[in-house]
Amino acid sequence: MNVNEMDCGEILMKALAEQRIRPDEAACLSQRASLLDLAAAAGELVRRVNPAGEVGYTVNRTVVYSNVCDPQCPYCRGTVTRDDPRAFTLTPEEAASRAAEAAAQGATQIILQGGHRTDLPWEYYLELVRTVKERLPQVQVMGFSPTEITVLRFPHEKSICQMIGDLKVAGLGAMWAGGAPSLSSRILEYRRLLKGPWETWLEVVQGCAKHGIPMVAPFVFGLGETHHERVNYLFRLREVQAVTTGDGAPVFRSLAIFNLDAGPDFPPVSGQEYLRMVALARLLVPNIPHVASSFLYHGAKVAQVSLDGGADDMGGTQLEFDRAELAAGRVGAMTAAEMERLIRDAGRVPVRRAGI
Amino acid sequence: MPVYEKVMSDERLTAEDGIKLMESPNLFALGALADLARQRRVGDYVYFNNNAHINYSNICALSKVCKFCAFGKAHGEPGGYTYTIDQMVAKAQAYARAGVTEIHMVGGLHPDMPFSFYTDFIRAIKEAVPQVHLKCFSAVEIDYFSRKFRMSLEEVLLRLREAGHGSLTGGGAEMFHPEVHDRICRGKMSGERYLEVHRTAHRLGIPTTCTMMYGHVEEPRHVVDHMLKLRELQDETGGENAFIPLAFHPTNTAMADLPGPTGWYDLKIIAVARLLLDNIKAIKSYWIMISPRIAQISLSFGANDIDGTVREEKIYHFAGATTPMLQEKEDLLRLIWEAGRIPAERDTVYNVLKVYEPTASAV
Repeated sequence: MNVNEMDCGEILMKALAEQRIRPDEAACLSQRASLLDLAAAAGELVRRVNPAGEVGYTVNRTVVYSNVCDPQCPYCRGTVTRDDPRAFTLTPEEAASRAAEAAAQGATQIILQGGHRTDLPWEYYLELVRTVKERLPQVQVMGFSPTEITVLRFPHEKSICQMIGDLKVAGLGAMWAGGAPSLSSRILEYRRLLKGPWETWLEVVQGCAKHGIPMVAPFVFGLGETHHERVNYLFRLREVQAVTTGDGAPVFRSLAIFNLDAGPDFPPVSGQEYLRMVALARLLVPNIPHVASSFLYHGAKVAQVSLDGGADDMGGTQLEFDRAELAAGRVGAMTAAEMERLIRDAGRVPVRRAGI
Repeated sequence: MPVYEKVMSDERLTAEDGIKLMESPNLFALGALADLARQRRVGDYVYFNNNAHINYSNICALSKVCKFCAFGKAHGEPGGYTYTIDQMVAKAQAYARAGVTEIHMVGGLHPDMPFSFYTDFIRAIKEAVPQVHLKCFSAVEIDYFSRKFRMSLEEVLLRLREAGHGSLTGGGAEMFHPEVHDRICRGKMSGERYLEVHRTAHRLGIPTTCTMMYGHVEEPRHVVDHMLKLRELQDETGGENAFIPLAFHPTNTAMADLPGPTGWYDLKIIAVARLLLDNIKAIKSYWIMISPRIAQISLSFGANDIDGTVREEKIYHFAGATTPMLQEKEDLLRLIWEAGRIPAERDTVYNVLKVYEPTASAV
């Protein structure tokens, strides 16, 4: 049926009756359902699975170990090429010192993030994880993503599963399931090192499941994708989550909704659209236990409002951001106290998680 | 009767209903109720105007009284300023060239200026840009002029009107309830006096807007009390064109230890205002204070006015507002279209100047 002829209300009733929604129905919701309808339905689903109204958050910090990135995708800002004067690469000791500063401020999770590059030895990555974990055995080290593993595999000639096993032994506690699968084929053209990677991405996810490394699944939008591309991505997450659930917990612990400042080629994502996508993610992927909103792009006000519209996690404090938009014109570092105020003000119960 | 049924049958909500709504943990259900009331009462237009602010002076006799203010300075304190009439005229001419239909002028309660200063600057600006509506002074300034220059409220308003003044701004209401008023601005004009100034203006045919400052020390009952007092006045006079909730910005104020309102609370205030204020057509979401994002979301919570392409706003920016000072018209239109609504450019008294149907590329 034509998306414009469908009744969003009926589709939402199906979602609330926990019946499967077809891709064309999902695309209809993405394109046409109002914020109020989507958020009310998604909020209702959250109340069913989380009647106590618990909302999780983590005190964490991202340590960027290198800003060098070979693909230079046009929507990504903040990375540089190898010969750029601003290029840097931290030694494992330097990364561990930054992590230790954050741990002294209460961080229990450290996220290691860097550009995609093929010139560093595999041992560097292992040493990075090992050094941080040895210095701070109590913190969860989250790091890398399937795209990085994919890029690294070629020069290092190890199987993906072996690489993840190595990272696990080094101390990796969680991984971000980012990168390749997102969104449109047109955008994939931009992902220069990452063409056609669904299978490889899946291999990384399965490797993480096998080695017991939990993941956060990102839902990145606002990069020119169509509504069908959005919902196809969410449906894939739902399928993958069902497939990789083995003996233990499901591989994706939460679904993080965010968009980036992607530069002038992509129109900015509005607050309404952000909240609509939080709700859509909850409705289409009910088998990922938590939906996390992010304050980094839209500010703490919008992230807080999402707690009644499908989200039940506020993500991490990201202590490296000292000028987050907090409330009513206030900017500063997001602290545990501010997180708890926002969650309580929304009538929810804050739960501080050590990691994912 | 449940609130939903009251909204559907256009029945007036009570104070108890208002408190229940303020305490609801279900934000989007509250939004849906307010949106329903908005659709039934005022339709799908979202109003904006092309305006500019001139804050003519920040020297204020109340600079130590209003704890929420980061703008006012005592006489002689560093950072104080008062524009000359020539400066104001030059600004007004520049804004008029940029196409504004309204200039919004408020300032501190200056201890030294004669009444002629105010009538002179109004007259000079009006002569220079006669097509522009001058929306000037809040009830606090009108009350101050009346006491300082020993004139009745009527006389003050008539003399300003004679000089070219068009309408009053809504500022200075703060929060009427004495329990709150005493804590945030003890010694400032009372809520009763604010209502008296507005009542007098309305009787003379001078329209106003009305406000409420929220997000500091108030409780739900104070919010409801404030809104119902405005509703009562509006029943009597019909002179309020819009209700504008003002979010408290703590930075640089004497209450900087308070965290300021959350997005949740901003939206709740808008929704409850739409539901309780059944006799005021425009509920304005002032994007300067609550961010363009929350302002856009508030369009689903009962708001139908988003202020305008404001220029040179100082009062909130002294209080640490991080929003841009000018919202480009294209951004404003896109924001309204994306919320599924129809932008309508208006003049000060809500005559529609132009309706912007969505273009194919914008949706």
